Amino acid sequence: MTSGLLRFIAAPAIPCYNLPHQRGANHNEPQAAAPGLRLFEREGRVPHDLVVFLQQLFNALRISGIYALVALGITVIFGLTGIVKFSIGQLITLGAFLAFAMSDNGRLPFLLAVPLAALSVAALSLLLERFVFRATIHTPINGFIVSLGLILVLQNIMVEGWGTTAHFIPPVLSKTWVVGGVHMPANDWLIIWITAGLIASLLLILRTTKYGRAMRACAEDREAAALMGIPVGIVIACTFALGGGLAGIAGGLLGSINTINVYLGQSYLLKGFAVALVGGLGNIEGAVIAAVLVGLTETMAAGYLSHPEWRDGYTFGLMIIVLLIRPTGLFRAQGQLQQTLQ
Amino acid sequence: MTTAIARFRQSFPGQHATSDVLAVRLPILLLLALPLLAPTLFPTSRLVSLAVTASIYVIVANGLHVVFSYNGQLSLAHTTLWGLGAYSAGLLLVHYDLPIALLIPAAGLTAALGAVLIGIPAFRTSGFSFAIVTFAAAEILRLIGNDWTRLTHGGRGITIDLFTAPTALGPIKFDTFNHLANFYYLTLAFAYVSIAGIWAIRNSSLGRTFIAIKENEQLARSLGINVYFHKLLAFAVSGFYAGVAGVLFLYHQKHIDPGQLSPFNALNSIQFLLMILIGGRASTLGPVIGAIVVVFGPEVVNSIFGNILTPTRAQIVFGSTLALSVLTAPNGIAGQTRDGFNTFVAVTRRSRERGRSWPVSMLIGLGYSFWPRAAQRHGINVRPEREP
Repeated sequence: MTSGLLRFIAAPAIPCYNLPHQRGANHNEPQAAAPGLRLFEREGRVPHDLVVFLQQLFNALRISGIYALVALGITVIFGLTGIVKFSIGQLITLGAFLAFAMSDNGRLPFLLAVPLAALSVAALSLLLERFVFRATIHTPINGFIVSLGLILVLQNIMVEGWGTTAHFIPPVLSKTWVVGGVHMPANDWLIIWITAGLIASLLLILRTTKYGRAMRACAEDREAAALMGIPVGIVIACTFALGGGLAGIAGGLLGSINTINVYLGQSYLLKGFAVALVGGLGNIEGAVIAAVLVGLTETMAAGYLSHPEWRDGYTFGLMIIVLLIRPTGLFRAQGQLQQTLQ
Repeated sequence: MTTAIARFRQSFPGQHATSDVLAVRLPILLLLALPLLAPTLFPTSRLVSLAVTASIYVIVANGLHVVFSYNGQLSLAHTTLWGLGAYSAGLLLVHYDLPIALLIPAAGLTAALGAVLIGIPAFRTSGFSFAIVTFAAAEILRLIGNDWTRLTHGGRGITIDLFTAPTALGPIKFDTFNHLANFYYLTLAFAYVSIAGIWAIRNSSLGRTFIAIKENEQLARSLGINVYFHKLLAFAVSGFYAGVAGVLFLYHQKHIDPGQLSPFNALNSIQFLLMILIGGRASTLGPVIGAIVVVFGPEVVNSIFGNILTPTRAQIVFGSTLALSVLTAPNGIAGQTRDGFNTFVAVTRRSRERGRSWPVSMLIGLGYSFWPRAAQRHGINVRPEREP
């Protein structure tokens, strides 16, 4: 840790993406792109390590939003049904590819393509719930194994359809704001605002609306909820659609950050699960907080420790340590607590 | 002679468990000996090579069988342990030129140690969390394979040169270029040993302890069983199996790497889970049936319908088969066959008791054997013994 910090102070050229020196911009010279947005007249006033820290914070914010979306999708489905839906990684990939296919060559604007892709993924998720997962509602472990089979099916259908080459969705906004040396692409701000808005509205929906109350009631006790006249089947179907839709949106947004290929979803699936487990499976607010925590761990560790290629390892290490100390996650796991394999 | 025949007749299944009697076990043993003929029966070396792959898969799947079917723990680190065995063997081979007789125990023990190291934290959790923790541990191992370049050669992987590497065991040569049949018999021998191993575990008090933990962990603990230790033990056994298979896989493939598409990828554990579930998780021979179906199924389809089943499409078919078999036939091919056979025997017997002739009774039995549930509706007990 200290040696990494020392090295960082001695030689600021840390190999971490999205840092100023890699964007090809010399941050000591005034930016022509957005002169009005500079908060500090002279670059020298902001210490360089603070700039790097703020830059990492910004990157963490962007990736946390995506993780939170994926983890929320996982956690609402688990909280309600006890099924761990592993195929959500492939739904992320599908969302990314549908958004790519719809917005490719300027067919549709990206901001229209992402919701459409998310809706399609939600529809697919609904179909899967109706014809596959409904049969496993009383034996969640079977649901888990079925979702493993679905991984093979969805993954290879996408390989058949799109091949294994990488694609790229051009960013919607190409402007990059520089505030005190911290480079903030407008596209990233867009993604942050979209994810923040989605998460906030989701929390609001689950807290205040009739559907949200019904969902929480079903998560607490499905039979009692059914006796109270809550249409449990419809609530479960809606929740699967919600989880799929969130994965689709996350995939679509990822398309404008990363290059996309058919294996995109796998690593984000694992990150999503790490977040959901750290936050306590089934705990919605916990998932959001854990997403920020995991995003921070990942970007800070990649930025300040000496080996950025191990960034995924830090996240998984954090997850394993948290599960060792608190097997139910940092915040109390909620909903169906039958975490046994039988 | 007459007493032998009488004993054979007596041993024919009645209302009791069928799998315990000689009349059922003898044909199964004969079927098990059939792979010995593969190099003489198969016309091309490609098919023999596929048989080698199937044997290796049998060993890996048997390892997962111990931890998944017996002990009820769903490990997604299994292919990574397989890779750990292959990597440790590859590095020992590249650096020290050890003979295969030393590589196999070394790799097996390394993978078993890896399993214990993963299991010590992972078994603090249970159920889905265990599956996900093993998945994360597998990803960390993959990162080590990919990024600790000085130790593992990084993304380049390890390539062994079979012309210079020691491939002989005494006077018998095992290189896969000129002596593929020999290598096949070597892997087959290990596959047989692995089957015998899990059969012995299943029929010992150790196996019963594993199953007790799977059936009811709280109850097992209250009986004084050290649950944590036995879970670790099952995981270590499965790791040992995977490690041994890793050496054979290394010799067969000659190149291993930690990439996303390598067979050691954690998600590839689904393949072996699929073999167990298609074959039958309640049977000792389930993984064997599953491995044969997974390896040779696409070949059979392709030879009949003319190469319509590319590997990608085969994966789609197998994925849907996995989902379907979990929903409709949870005990897989072996379980379905056993139920069908039990139904056939029971229905034929009852039909004879009601005074029908032998051919008619057997015809009725055959008809019902495809639909055991219908026989059950008529009060015939299809599953006399409780499935493990």
